[in-house]
Amino acid sequence: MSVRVQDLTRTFRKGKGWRPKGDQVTALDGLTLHVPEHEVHGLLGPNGAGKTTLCKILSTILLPTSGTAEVLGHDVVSGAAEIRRHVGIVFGGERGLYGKLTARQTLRYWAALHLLPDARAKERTDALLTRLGLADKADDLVETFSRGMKQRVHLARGLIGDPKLILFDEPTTGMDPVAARDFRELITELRDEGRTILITTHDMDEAEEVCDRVTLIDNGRVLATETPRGLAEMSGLHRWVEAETTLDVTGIPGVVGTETRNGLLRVKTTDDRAARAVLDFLLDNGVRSVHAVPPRLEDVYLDLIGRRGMEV
Amino acid sequence: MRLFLSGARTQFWLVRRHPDELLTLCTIPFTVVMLLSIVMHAARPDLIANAFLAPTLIGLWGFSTGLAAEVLVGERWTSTLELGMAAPGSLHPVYLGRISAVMLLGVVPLGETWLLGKLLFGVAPTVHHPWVFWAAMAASVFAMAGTSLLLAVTMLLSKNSNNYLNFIGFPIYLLSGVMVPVQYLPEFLQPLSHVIFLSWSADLMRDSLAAAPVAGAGWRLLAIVGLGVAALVGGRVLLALSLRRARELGTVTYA
Amino acid sequence: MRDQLRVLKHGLIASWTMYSAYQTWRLWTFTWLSRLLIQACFYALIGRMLGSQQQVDYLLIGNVVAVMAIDATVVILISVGERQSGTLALMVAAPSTHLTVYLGKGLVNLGSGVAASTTAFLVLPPLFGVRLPWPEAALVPLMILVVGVSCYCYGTCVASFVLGFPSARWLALNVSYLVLMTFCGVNVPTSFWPDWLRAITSVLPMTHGLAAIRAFIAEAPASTVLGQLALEVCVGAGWLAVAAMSFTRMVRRGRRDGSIEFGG
Repeated sequence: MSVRVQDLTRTFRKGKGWRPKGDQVTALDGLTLHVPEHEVHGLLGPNGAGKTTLCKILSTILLPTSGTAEVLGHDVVSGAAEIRRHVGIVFGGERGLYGKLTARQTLRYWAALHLLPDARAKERTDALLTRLGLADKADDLVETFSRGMKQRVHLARGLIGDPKLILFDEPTTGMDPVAARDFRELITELRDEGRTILITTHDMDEAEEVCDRVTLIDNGRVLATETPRGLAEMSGLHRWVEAETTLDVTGIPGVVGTETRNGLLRVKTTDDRAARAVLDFLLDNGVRSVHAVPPRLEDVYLDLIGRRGMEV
Repeated sequence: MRLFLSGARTQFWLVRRHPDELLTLCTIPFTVVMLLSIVMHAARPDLIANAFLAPTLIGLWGFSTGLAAEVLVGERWTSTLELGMAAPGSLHPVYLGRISAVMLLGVVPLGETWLLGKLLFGVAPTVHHPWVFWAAMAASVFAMAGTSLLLAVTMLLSKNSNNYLNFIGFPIYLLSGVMVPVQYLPEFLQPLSHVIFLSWSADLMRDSLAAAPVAGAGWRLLAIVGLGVAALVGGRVLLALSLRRARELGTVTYA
Repeated sequence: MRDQLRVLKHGLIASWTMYSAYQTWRLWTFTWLSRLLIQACFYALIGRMLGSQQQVDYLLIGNVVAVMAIDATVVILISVGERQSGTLALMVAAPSTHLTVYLGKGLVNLGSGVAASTTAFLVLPPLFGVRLPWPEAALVPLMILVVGVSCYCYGTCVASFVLGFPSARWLALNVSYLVLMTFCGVNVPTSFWPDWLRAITSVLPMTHGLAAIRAFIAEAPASTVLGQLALEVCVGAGWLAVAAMSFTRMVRRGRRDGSIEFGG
């Protein structure tokens, strides 16, 4: 097991100063999460759900208030030193980089901080620069890089210590579609190398595509942990049937509602059986362009977390 | 005039929000203590006037150049300069207004110096010719505004403006004789002093503190004001030129 | 230990790269070095106005050493900048200690300060008729280095406290070096100050080191010079220890209350 979190709670006090005296805010509220090795695991949830707090605790820069969190078999409180050797962090955005260093210098610098001997640091730097397509620009200043390239520097930096667990915090923020696709490929490669990956994201398509399993978090609690498809299946969400027709289907048992958009009829049904009944009815009446649509992760997210998900 | 006033008002707001920019006011006490301790330790009460004038004028200069340059250079960083250029009003009065607001604050070091001298060392020089003293102070503040505009525009054009701004302080203090009168400088440097308004200010104010009658006060005041006007005109012309250049080339910095 | 030295080495390379991105030799010489030289001249000239060579000697030597204090304490700005660049979380989460990086962040500037003071020491005395006991005076730059390191330690200590109040960094920097320049025997002997103030100056850097340099130039017995230098080293070590504790405490507190910001 790479990550084993049990009843993890973290509270903060609002306010400023040395000992803030304001209201208590609960960021994590008895959260339990298990991530086995070699898994790409997505953490989904609106802003303020507790995703970043969890990442902070797992990366040992924040202590839990109660409960336990183990990373690679070490406790985040007592075994922080061990954890730090094997965990890599990748931020989205541009913070955490030195604009006046080149990509190569950045990696060498962080290699030293990850206690890599010089020879090994050099080898790993070259390998990562090549792997992430930065070799041509290795000696250019990071500040001259595009956003996507800065993100790749961040990735390389996070990988420099050859981590067993990688924490990605909103990694595709600001990436263009091509860069985002490359990034997804990279994630798969990293998993195939035997690493465990934990990603926080708002991007449902991304989560659906790269994650083996996802955990929905809201208000510091786990709402569900499942494969993206399984989450949709077990969510009990409505099945949709789409067809190019003007027929009236509202009389069929299990039909919850219909809507017509651009000549396309969308029928909302309670379950698989009802969906099948609608399909049969439409096919029997000679409608040819017909298909059933399983709920997507995004639907599940919106259903479970509600409108607030839209605000992020 | 309206633009001038709105510039001045903006500057007061900005200063209130960024107390960091009032840094000079916090460093003045150290200059006061340093210089007064030197003359007190050397038992030279006759030089107390020098030790009072120096922090006052250093404060005025440091405060004004720092903040005034910040007005324009800061604008460049925050790219509000471009916005300003795109605005319909003329820019000069706005900037001059903001810089002048800074100048008014530049008188504060005077009060600060006198207060600290009295509190910490129990001394204060007698102002024997108050009219001359205040006239010289007013003329200096005016000349400072002009000089600041000139400096600020020069800074705007340079890539390493902070380095230059940092650099220029002590040479000016030395050349203008704010503490040590110009005649103690090597002779070949002395002519340079005459083109720095601060040297006229320092001389005249020192004389106004002394008991002896002040000779040629009018002419000397005129010299301060004249140098101020020259700097003001120079600064304005340079600002106009550089803004025109900026429109043509799409860049403000000369680099 | 070897790991930490490697961190220090790469930290230095990084600092140097960043420093030289803004500074060139020419820029340094014509703006920074010359500014510091002129600053020392400004004070030495006061000595001339006071009318005694002894005063000139005192003020010149004091200020030649003191001008280095600005560079030595610039570490205050740099560590705040480091924190603002969002790397603290990454550093804490790395297996090495963040202490080495933070405490070593301003060493390049310390080098600049020591170089400036040394240049001032070589160039200015002849201009002001200050006699130095050559060739022994060649040891003075080494003493300047000791004072510099001690001032630097003091700077890191201030930095460790200012990290919590980043908007005060400029004020903290200015006050930090001005305190040294004003009270630590640069312009007037510390005996000029009231007893309580003199007691404070004795635990500030510069005081003892400058006293050692003055004693050395006046050809005082070696024991006096070495004694003062030893005190200077102790003062520096004390400030460094407090700095290290304070940085560690900051991170410990940050882990407790979540004030270590995660980038993004």
